[in-house]
Amino acid sequence: MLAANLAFAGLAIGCVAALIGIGLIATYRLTGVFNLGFGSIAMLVAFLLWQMVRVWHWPLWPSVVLDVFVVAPAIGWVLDAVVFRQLQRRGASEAERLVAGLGVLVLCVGVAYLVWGTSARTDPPQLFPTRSISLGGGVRVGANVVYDVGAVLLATVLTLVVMHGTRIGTAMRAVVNGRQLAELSGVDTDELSAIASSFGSFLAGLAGVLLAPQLRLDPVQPTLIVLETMVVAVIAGMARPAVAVGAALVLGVGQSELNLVHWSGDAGVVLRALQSNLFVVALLVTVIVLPRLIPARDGVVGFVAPSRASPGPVVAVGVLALMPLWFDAADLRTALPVPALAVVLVSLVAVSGLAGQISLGQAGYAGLGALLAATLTTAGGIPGLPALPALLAIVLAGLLVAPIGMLTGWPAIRRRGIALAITTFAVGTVASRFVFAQPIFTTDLRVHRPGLFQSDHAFYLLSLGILLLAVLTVWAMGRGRTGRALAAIRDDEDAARAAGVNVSRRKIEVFAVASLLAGIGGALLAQGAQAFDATAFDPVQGLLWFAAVVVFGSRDLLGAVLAAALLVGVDAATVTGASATIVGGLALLLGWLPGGLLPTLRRTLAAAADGPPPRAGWRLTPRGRQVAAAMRRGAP
Amino acid sequence: MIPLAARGVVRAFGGLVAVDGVDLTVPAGQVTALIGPNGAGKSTLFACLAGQLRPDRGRVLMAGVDVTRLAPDARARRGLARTFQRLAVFGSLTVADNVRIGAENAARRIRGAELDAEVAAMLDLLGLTTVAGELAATLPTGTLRLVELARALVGRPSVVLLDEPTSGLDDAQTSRVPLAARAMADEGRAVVIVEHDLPLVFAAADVVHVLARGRIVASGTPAEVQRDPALTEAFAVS
Repeated sequence: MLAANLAFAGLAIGCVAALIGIGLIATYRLTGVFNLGFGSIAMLVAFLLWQMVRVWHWPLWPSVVLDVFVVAPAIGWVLDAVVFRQLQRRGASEAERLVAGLGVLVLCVGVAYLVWGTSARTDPPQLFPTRSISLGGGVRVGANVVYDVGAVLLATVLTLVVMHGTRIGTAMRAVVNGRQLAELSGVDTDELSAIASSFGSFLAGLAGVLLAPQLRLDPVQPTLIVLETMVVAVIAGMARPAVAVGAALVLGVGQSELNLVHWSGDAGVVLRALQSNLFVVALLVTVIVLPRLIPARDGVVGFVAPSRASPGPVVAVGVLALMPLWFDAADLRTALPVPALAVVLVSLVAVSGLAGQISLGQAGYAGLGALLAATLTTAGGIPGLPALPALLAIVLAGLLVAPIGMLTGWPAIRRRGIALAITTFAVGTVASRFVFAQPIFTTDLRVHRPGLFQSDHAFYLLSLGILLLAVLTVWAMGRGRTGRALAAIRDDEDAARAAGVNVSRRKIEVFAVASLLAGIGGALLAQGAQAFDATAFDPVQGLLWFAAVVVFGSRDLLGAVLAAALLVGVDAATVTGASATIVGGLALLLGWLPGGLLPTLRRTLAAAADGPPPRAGWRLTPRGRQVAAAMRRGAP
Repeated sequence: MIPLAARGVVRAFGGLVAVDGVDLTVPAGQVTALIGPNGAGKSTLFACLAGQLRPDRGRVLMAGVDVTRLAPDARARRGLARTFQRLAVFGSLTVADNVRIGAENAARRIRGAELDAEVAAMLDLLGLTTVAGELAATLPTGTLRLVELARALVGRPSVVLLDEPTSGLDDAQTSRVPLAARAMADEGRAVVIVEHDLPLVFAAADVVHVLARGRIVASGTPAEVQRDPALTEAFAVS
């Protein structure tokens, strides 16, 4: 009887997961975009309903209709018109589309922070009555579950009909396969992709308002939960809505049924963690055991030839980095995390910029570094070990995270694009949920700074020194034989293998170095704050950091440093979420900023210095540039 | 010692047997051509030889050593070089660096000045010296084909696999392909060429193997194969 009651309770979350899975599949199949922003759209629509009902006191159902049936599809329409249509039109790579989806996510989270702040709302509107209905024999089911099941069935049927039973569905799939060919066949591709995107957003909105009453409503939690439940779409191979529904219901019910299992001691702690995070564990297991379920297309980061950095900007950034040493105490304290965060972002330049690999789990490595450094400086943190000097702890934290990076980088050997993105995200999320969120690992930690670097002033200098070493390390990796091998992997992995490059080894190496640097950066972040804050290494932070690095130029070390300054400085100067809004907005504009912000800026400045662009197919020689410059000066 | 051989290679995709028990010997100093209609299994056999695909059954041998389970990069480091039907150059690297990668990861362990000299000689040989410092992404298709070839040859491989080498080339460039293949073979290399252009194949090859439905249905010199009714039958079936 209890098992039956738990099963019905589990159906509620299973239904929401099913809706999310269907929405992701429909969006992917009909627009060709694996929209990582799906969760944030769900969150935004849920927040808007809360605003309408709880703040503006609008009646529930008209608000639901306006929010889910008008606003949510409108968000999808706008995103298609402004972002995805442009990318599809110019045949953008999967990585570019992925980053655009990430931009949507980061932008929505940023907007939610700006509008609704960081505090969680505990009273999201409940769409359906929560009273329970007796099914006899002591088995009861919540009325909301019945309605949720109805909503899922409706959405499944609707999706299947749209995808396979209508001319629009067929035409939409044709557009995904070949936009230009579809256009030549007389298909109005703009209209169709707008409809498809609107439909996906509608499903996201529906999932959001159904999910919100089951948890606290803040900008991050619903977004993350939706991202975790994408496992059901992955299990369905991003193709079969009915399989997604089945997987969602099994996982939802399974999660609920785990309440029946009671273990004591540490095993019990692990069991409870497993129960709370069953979807993300299933995601990690699925992407590792069944990687072929995720469609593999291209998908590397780095879209254009690199622009060469000149000494001027390097010196300018160096001077800017030193300026906080002359700040007053409060401002210096604000700037303290910048070099530490820059070390983490520089690690992303190594893995994403140099090797072209998507890594959404860098926050996990940084968090592990922070936690290890804190544990090592705490007497008895590791049983039998005395507290270690803080400087040694930073180094050891990095060295201990490196093998973890190698281990988790192993799946990257055979994965590209979405598959790698989901794998690295799952790794970061599992680290967050099973380590950072567990009191057993995080209580009674005493985070110390190194003895000679106790003051903010000295610690900032130490962080800058370590940042310089990190920058030099990644700069050196990008040169010589290693740099050529990584460039070859980034440009054409098959050709790199054919040329004798040991792709597997190089990928493992770059993941190891990147995780080492991320671990050191995380350790610095914790020591700077003199505390371990699990929220600083939340998986959504990992998404934001990746987006920031790509926005500023994934191969641009200066860009990584500037991105860190923006992420810390803008939020400190304004409100939380402002930097995410800027990064998200810029990520959506990547279609107009090939290679990122700084490379585009460099090219623009170089073009301005060279005068009018030469005819297509021609390049100015150095002598030609001299002549052009002389002509601009009016010389004969 | 035979530089490259396939023994009883079988490779299926689901229910479709693309390569069905192929035995192939690629001798040194000769150009060996694989021809056949679309879907005959040429590309699958080529991928099995290069290491991109692992056969379901059978073995691939390099100089008598079983390399069936070796990855493409490991085969490359044993002296197997290949080109691709599509353009496969590293666009963000210069032409010189594209070629240098081939030298750095080749079977011959050369470093420093010797490696520089080897790269420079290969660039010179293929007329790429003037564009050595250019980013590959900025160059036209014909030049990039030469870059790919230079990258494959700079390590002095014992086996060269050419996958549709005329793809994307104009007539003048295409006419040089048989000469290039011949030159490679004359230096003692085992050359395998997969090509749709039959006149070109018959001009370049010492031995021609005709594939149909995953099996070798005719083998011999170009003259012998052209007289073999199996050739007409294979292309007629398609």
